[in-house]
Amino acid sequence: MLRRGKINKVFKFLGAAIIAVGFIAPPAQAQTSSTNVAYIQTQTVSNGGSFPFSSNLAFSAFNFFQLPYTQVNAANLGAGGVCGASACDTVLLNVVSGSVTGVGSFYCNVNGLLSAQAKTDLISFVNNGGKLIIYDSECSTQNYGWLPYPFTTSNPGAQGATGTVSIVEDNDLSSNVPADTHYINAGILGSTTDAVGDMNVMTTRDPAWCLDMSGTNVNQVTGPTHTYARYGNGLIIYNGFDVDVMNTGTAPNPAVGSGNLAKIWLHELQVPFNPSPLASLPCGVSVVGITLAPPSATNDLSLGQNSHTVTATLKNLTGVPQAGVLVSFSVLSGPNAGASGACSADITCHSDANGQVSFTYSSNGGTGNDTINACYNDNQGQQVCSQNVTKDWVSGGTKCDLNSDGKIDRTDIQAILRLLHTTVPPSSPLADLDNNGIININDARGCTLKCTNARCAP
Amino acid sequence: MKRLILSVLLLASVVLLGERSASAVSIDFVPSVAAVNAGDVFSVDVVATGLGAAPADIVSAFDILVSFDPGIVTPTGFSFTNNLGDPALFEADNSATFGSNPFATPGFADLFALSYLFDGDLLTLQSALLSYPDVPLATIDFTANVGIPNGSNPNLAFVWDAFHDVKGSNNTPITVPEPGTILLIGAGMAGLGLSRRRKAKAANI
Repeated sequence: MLRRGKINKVFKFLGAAIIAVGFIAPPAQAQTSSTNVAYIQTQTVSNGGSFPFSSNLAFSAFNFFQLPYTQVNAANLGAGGVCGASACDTVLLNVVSGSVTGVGSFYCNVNGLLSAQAKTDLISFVNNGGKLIIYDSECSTQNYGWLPYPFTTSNPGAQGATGTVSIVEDNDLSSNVPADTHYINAGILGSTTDAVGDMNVMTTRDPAWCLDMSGTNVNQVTGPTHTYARYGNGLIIYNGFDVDVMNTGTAPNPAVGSGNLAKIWLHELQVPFNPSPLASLPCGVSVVGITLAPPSATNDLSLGQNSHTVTATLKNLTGVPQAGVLVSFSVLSGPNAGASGACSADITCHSDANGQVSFTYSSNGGTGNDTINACYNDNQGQQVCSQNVTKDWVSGGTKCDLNSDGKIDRTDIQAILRLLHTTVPPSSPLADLDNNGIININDARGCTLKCTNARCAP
Repeated sequence: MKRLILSVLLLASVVLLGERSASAVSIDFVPSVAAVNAGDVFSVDVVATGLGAAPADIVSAFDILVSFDPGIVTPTGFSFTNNLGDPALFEADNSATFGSNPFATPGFADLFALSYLFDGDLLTLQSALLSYPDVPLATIDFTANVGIPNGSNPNLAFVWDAFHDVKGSNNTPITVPEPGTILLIGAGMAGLGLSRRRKAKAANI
């Protein structure tokens, strides 16, 4: 009996080992989807409707955890907090929450009721790679001045009105293409529900917000209603739709009005983050109407890469390219601050039929980081500027000397350590000692052996 | 049937031990599996074993990814040894991502350390250790969510990929066995021990 027991134990151990081997997988750099979602503070929407959670089969892949607004802090969002042993990776800020036991209503008072620390911790949560999804269905105008990218909105309230909405950018949040898994039927959503007529739209805008959907509400105000913004490693999504036709059992289905709302909610949970790849969320149209690309780039002066081109794209809020608009480009700071350059294809810097105009300038030979933007004047004569983009000028003469101060020391090595697990580009090629396209411990130790002074002293 | 089973396990041991002997240096957990009750806190050391054969006679840097079953254990803390140099004296840098970091990937802990010392200084430092040629690198603290002896296993394993490696002398990578190999060696050794007991008893009859 003893031997048989031991044999059984051996088999149990062997089985466990085989299972362990079979399921071991390296973690992805980016999170491919939300998993542990903390919701502030109720599942129901006080103005009507409710969010589908795990009991809805389409949302069974996600875990939802209640977080009263009074308990929003870093500890509760971290490991061992409300999401259990694993930390929360996503927060649903349901601005239209009612009361929960022992905690008063959160109803449409996001700025007044969230403590300063809670706001700071939420922003820090995003900066460190978390996803924050904001819904303020049928609320009065909210104060979002505490967000890293503030905005104000036009809020019609509960009117029961229909309206029109456009998908401006095909991405992982929504798509105009019926064959795309992210397809949203904007026509059905606007015409068969009050999701669009009663929606809140942005009226003041920060160029960091990227436009997914815009439309016209019952107040005849046209603006962005579904937007996203990267902040640090994380992602913020704003959803201004009226969601009172969506309920816990609503199935994501583009053929049904409410099903489109559920499908948008599903896409918001599914969209990759930490960080969000450009393939999922290209940010092709900023909410201000002008977008500058590429967002960042590195040139190696030692390889003769001494000029840089950025391209501004102008589109209106429905995504239509704007031709013939005069655009001014500025190198705001960096080694080439104030540099002049040349526009193309139109040398007078007016946008073409695609709404695009490019700007090329040359380096003065200095290394460092340039910050660039592009601006135009809107119909009211007000200057509207794009988000800032950057250009890192390096000289490939000295691998490992990331700060280009002519010596390799602890400052450079620690900069390489901060780049561990990243790829080149966007990481600096100077950190990639072995030129294999990734920054790893081999680069860090290899550069240590090249330090100018013993122990890499500065 | 039992003989067949034991023969298979014995063969697995021989094959896998052969692989291990080809890898002079390995990165191991000490202990490899902890026997604790639910709620207990226990620690696992990460140790480089079998150093001494150049060029892998030292550990100069490491970036180690540890996988575990978050349903069974929860990481609660970590510490690094000073065997790559003392960070307070600017001889090394180290960091870890898991546990208190809310953005760590569930089920994985990443630990890295880098020495600013020359290889010769590291050899002097590490070869003076009583444990040499085994060099402890770090310790991870866990809380058991369930009773591990009751059919559970924390499934601790190392994950080696392009971003995770251990460096020896002259920045040479240290060869380490696959994490599954470690687990299978355990099973094979158990089978080997059992087989010897059976033979001994048969001889006594």
